[in-house]
Amino acid sequence: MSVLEIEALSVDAVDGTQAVPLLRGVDLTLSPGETLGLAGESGSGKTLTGLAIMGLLPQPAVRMTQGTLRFQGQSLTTLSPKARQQLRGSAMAMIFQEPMTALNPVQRVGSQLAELYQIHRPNLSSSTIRQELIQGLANVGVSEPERRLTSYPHELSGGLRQRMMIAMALALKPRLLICDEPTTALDVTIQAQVLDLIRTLSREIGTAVLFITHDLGVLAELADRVAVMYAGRIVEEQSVWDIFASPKHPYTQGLLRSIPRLDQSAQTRLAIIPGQVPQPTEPLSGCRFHPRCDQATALCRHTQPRMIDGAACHLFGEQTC
Amino acid sequence: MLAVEDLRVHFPIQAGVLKRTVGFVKAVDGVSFQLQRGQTLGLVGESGCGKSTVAKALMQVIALTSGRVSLDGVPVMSGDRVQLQAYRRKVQLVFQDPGESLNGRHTLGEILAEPMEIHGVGEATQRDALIQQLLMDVGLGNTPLTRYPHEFSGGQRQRIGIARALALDPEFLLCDEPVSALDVSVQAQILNLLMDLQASRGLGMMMISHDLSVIRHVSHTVGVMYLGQMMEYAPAERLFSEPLHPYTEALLDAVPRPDPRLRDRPRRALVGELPSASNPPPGCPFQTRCPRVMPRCREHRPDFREWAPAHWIACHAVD
Repeated sequence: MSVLEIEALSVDAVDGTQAVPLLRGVDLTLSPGETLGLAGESGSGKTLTGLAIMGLLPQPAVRMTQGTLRFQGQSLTTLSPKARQQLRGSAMAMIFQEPMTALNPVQRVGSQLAELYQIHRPNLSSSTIRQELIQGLANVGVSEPERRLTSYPHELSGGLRQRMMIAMALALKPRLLICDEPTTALDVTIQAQVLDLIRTLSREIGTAVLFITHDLGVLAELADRVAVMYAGRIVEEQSVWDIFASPKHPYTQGLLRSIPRLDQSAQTRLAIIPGQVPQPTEPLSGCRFHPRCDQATALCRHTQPRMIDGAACHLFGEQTC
Repeated sequence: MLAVEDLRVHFPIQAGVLKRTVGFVKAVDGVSFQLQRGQTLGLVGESGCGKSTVAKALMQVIALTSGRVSLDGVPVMSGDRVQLQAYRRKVQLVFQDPGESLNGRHTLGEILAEPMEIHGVGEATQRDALIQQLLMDVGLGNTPLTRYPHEFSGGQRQRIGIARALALDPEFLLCDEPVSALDVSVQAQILNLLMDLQASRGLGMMMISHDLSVIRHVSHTVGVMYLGQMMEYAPAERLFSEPLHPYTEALLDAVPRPDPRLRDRPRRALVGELPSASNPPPGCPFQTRCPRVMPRCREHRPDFREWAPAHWIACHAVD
């Protein structure tokens, strides 16, 4: 059974009487132990997708208008807010880009971590919780875990703080872990350590991971499948092997061509995608990528392509309308 | 040529009510390099390595503790205001975050005219033509000068930041993480623009970045910094194909590669965290994380020596 099934998810920002579409028709599934990469540029809707799954959309300004979310076969949209809160932190967890803003600055790390157990495992004694915490921090490679429990967040380095967040997210062995750019604020050598950690833990615990990032290199390192988002829609989804070897959508192709590479000859012009990502308020008919696509046809300008064989593009598959 | 010799920037750490100096953060501690016209020097390193401080010191916006900066053999005296102003016309800075480095209350026209007014470039009547030309050069031709920074996208704002840096027709451009805040597709546009401008104007460029792929793409020479010191300095091709310093090796191995076939490649991973710059370890700054550490590294700071022609390194383990 899938851990997560999303069908036709749509999210709008509501401003007075005006509704601005932020997500449209997002379909995703995740199996146990699988890592799905969600790639895209800023404003593409990848963080919003994560927040919608967690039930953390900033309502009522931003709300889900359509679609179904199923977690381990159970519908999330029909659950009461209380029941969803029960799931958060225990069965599903999320790690954010900047751990400093996700931790309470005036509370010792140990008591913040312990809170999780007090809420979700009220029967555990405080000494058992302490044992679990020390073990949890040791698992994510924190040295001297006993001492770290008494630290305040500002006393820890960025890498350590992110390890704390990961320890917290994984404490109750969630079935689903959503990582939103967890290594973007970290140095590259620390990033490598954190990616190793997420990879190992998901393998050992069997946690399904939704990994959100703008960095395609990171996804090549750890994803099993990759979905690419553009302007609120998924435009391509393939196995990590296929998407890097033979990307189908012109946007994915453009992204892969435009990144500078270590193994590429230097001092050459980089391929570019002309223009910029459209604002959600911009009315655009057809495929939202068509103004930047050099292969766009009249069909692309008028008709929204459907997802067929892993790509939502009129250039691929039999598109009928 | 812009030459830097044994540059040091130390910031005092003050404590107590008397604000007594109890120590120093050695942000930059003995760094030397040369910037040639028409060439790009890449400076790479992790946070706190001092790469941005180098740029600020070169712009003379923070005081040097010691060391020499010279332009075409003439030493730059920070006390001489006339000379400093002439120097700043020739050396300009592009910042990381164009949203924060552009004054939000000034229009595009005012932002670009300001450096010209301060330095007395052209008559007021000629400036409009100069500004139009600048905007053409950075790919923003025919943009109304009455617009404000917030009306532009991140990529366009960085183009404005570059146009402002070029307003005085400088000979050297110091770029401090110019594409880090931009999306991937826009990043490529800005890197192309910088390379085009370098070719057409013969600019000497310094590219500061934490992203080794960006550094690799634009640089002719690369310096790798760690905790305020230069660890390795070599022609780009050589540094990326035959890195010598264990830190450079680990950095290169840690870069995520956009090719899943490489995901199981052998990697020299680093353990541990970066030491604090206010309390660096004795001897070699890298000794706490170095896979090839020897007793000597814990006591003596290695000399920065020319190991092979044009290939400089500070490491005891490389012989």
